[in-house]
Amino acid sequence: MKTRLDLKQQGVDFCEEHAGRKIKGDLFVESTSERISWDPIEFRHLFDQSLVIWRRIGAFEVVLDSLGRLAGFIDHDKYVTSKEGELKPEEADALLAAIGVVPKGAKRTDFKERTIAPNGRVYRGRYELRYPLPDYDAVDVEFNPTRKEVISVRPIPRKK
Amino acid sequence: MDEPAARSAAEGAKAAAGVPADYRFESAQRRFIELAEGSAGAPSRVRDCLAWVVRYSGEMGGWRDLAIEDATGKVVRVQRSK
Repeated sequence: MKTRLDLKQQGVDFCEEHAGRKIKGDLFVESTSERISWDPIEFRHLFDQSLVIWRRIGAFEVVLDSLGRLAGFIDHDKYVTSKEGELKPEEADALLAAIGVVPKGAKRTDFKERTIAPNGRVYRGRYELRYPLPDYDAVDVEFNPTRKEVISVRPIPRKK
Repeated sequence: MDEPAARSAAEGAKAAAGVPADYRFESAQRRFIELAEGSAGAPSRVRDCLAWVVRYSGEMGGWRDLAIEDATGKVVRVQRSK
């Protein structure tokens, strides 16, 4: 009978090969648990293991307020595709309203196009909240004009 | 860990993290961030980490972000302006 280590490696190799055909990009396969058991019907040992496939993507951050509630986010992956295209301020307002992170009634006070490295472009808007929250009363929002999506919502901490 | 403790931890670590001496504290935000355990640029196991992201900024617009892990008080990530 093959050793536990051999069985584990065989499973990881098979998974890497199979996943490589289905998923683009570099992958890392991690074995998280394993178990050998006797199957009384088939009269043989069975080796089971759980595998996790990791693929590199952009980082995602969740911004919390002092009470531990969701206050914003930064989706770094969306900077990569942010290059061309136009975004009207009204379109930006609609995108922000659709994600539901900023309370209704926020008023846009600034909206500008900015270049980002390397060769990227985003739109940045500042929104003042209708009702101030404990830590902040405005947020900076970045938009991806190419895919028409919100990249980040960053609360602006109130000066103490 | 509260904000003053995070700021204190960041103050103690900022020289080792390469924060220029003339940079001043700007803000501290509590965030869930992702930390990759392998080498940069390669896929690896990732864990979510609750951290205080303390920003220091300079007069020319540059900044450094030090992420202080909420559970341990250690610097787990340093980011800088491009």
